[in-house]
Amino acid sequence: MANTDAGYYQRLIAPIEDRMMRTIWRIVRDTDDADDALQEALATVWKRLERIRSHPNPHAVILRICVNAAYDLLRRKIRERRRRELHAIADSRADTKPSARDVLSHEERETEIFDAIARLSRNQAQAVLMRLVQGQCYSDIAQALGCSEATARIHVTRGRARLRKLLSHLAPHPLKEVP
Amino acid sequence: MKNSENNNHEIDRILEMTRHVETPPHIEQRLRERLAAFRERLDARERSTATAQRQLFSPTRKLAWACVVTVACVAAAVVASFLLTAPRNGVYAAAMEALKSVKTVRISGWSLYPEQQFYEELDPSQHYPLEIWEWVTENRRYRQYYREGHVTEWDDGERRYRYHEQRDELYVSLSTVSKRPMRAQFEKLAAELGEFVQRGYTRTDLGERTIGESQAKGVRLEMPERARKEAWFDTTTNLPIEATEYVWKDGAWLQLSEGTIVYDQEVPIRISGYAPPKAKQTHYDSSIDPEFERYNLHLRRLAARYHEAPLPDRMELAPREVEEKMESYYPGRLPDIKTHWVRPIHSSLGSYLRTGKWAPHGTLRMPPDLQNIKLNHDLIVKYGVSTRERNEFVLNSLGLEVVEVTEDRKVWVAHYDGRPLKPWEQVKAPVPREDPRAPIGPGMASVFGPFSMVELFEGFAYGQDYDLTATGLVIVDETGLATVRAEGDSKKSREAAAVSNESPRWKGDESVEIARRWFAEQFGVTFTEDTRPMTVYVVRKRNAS
Repeated sequence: MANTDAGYYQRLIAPIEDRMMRTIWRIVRDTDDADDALQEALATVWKRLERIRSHPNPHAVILRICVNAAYDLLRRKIRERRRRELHAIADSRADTKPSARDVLSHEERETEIFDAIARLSRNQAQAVLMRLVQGQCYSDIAQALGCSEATARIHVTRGRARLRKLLSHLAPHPLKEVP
Repeated sequence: MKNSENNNHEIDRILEMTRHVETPPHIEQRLRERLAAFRERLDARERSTATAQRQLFSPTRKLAWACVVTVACVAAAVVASFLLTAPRNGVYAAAMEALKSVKTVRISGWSLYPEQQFYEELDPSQHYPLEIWEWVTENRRYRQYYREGHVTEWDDGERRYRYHEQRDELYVSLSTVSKRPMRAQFEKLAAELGEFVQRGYTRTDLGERTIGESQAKGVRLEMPERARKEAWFDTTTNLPIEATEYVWKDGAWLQLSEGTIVYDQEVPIRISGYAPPKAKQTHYDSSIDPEFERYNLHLRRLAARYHEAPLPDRMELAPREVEEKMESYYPGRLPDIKTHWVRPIHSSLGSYLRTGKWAPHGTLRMPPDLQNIKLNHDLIVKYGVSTRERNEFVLNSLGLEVVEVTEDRKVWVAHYDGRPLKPWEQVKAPVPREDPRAPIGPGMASVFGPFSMVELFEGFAYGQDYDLTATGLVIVDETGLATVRAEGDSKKSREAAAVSNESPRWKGDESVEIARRWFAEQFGVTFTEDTRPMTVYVVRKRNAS
């Protein structure tokens, strides 16, 4: 590959630059966090460059790395918030935030969903984010995760099922399974 | 099922809608700058790899490349030479045995390549100093220090730090010295021995000579017009004590490195107490959680200061040099210092004193201007110092003092009706927190236990006198229930005295009635009001009347 005309960057990163940035931004929605997540993702790409180059679908792998970096950051932020809530006195700013379900804005719902995604297993979260946020096809997800297409589908399905439970309060009515 | 499907669709819909979210232009610009910087690095790496590949696959350069890879440092060269010469006559086994009793290995010398470079780039006039230390600590852990040119590596058994002086960058990863580094190096190279022999090295005995106080025998391994290694072994211990390495370049042997190995030398404090410097950029390996890494590194640097200066008799309030945001915890452990610990104080003075135990809660009075004093310090404390002493020390360091005055205060006297208590694990806060994203309201769990009754009272008084006016609630415990107050109480003793799994948040007037009801219903604890003389701890500027 080193002897080809197009360089690593030109071949691996340039075609998906925009998608990488969008993926990260859609998950973290914070300037500093997006910057951190992108740096983290690039550091991983740097470290795994040889493996990525030889991968049949390097772009899918890089996008997965971006998802992963953003997902890790999301989890870290949630952990921080929980710790703050449990071990410190609640921030006075928080007192002014609306909490009732009926006044949750779209952004707040979105944040809740991402919070819930952060509680999924890594594979499920990656699969759900790649499928629903990036809109990737199952074969790409499977290649990026290094699993079969059927397994990728299972990750997405189970991830969605768990999200449904975690986010039951977002349902229009209380959940009651009908036999 | 329909509702659950609705919910799933709602989730999918919201997630899919994020596909239409575009990166805002100012953020995109910032991210593009990152990508541009990465592109530069990647291009540079590619150029370097291309050079490496040309060398690797060039017939005349193949061996040279192998040489660079295998003997990335003099220590490896020594071991390689040693292994090549030794196995047949049992020297290898004897050296391995000797190595077991060695506590310290020091390799010093120079090399032409502080990092992997290529022979075209080597500058024969530029000798980069080389210093490697490896030693066993008192608790049988290994440590390693490695400095070659402008690169310093330090492995403290938990983390490995690689500092690149020219780039002013620090790389932090997990420790790699779970096993003795030199021994691991021996074993790794032993596995590669066959390959070396196949490459056609020839061996020449160099006879004996005296090196320092040791008698040494020398061995040369050479592949004509390609690579040469020379090593000298102590005739008594069979351990290598000197090594040199050459490469054939432009019709002559070019010396690549030279190393002297000394065993069981005392490790100087500058090595054993080395702390990675503050770098312009710090990179963390993805295998470690960087959340607390900045603070851990800060603690190491703090500990390094005390290798040169004495530790305080009791305490020291050390201001931080920079206003650096970092997640911290306490007690912070100072590496290799067992007598002192660290309490980070990165908050207002009011917050610091409020959360520290100042018995009983509700009796500390502090004017708002003093509460708002910002602290960005580390309190280095000797083990055994009480909280009260710590707090007074901090106040004194800031030119403040505490005076005790007696005042008549309205108190709540707590009584217990003697009913059997529920298992503490089953006792929850009175108000459930249904939405974890919502703020913690009155009566919702704010901290998780186990908690004794007196700790619940303290939590109540804490919330009711949050402003530190010492005019709020003071609870006098006359319940007779077991109590846990001392710091450092064991989990077992805490559980023995526990009555609740959760401590609710009791801030604000609206909390009072909820608390009264909860204490009565859950524990049979009621309160009667009284006025009693109480000690109030007043914080003020020193010498203020």
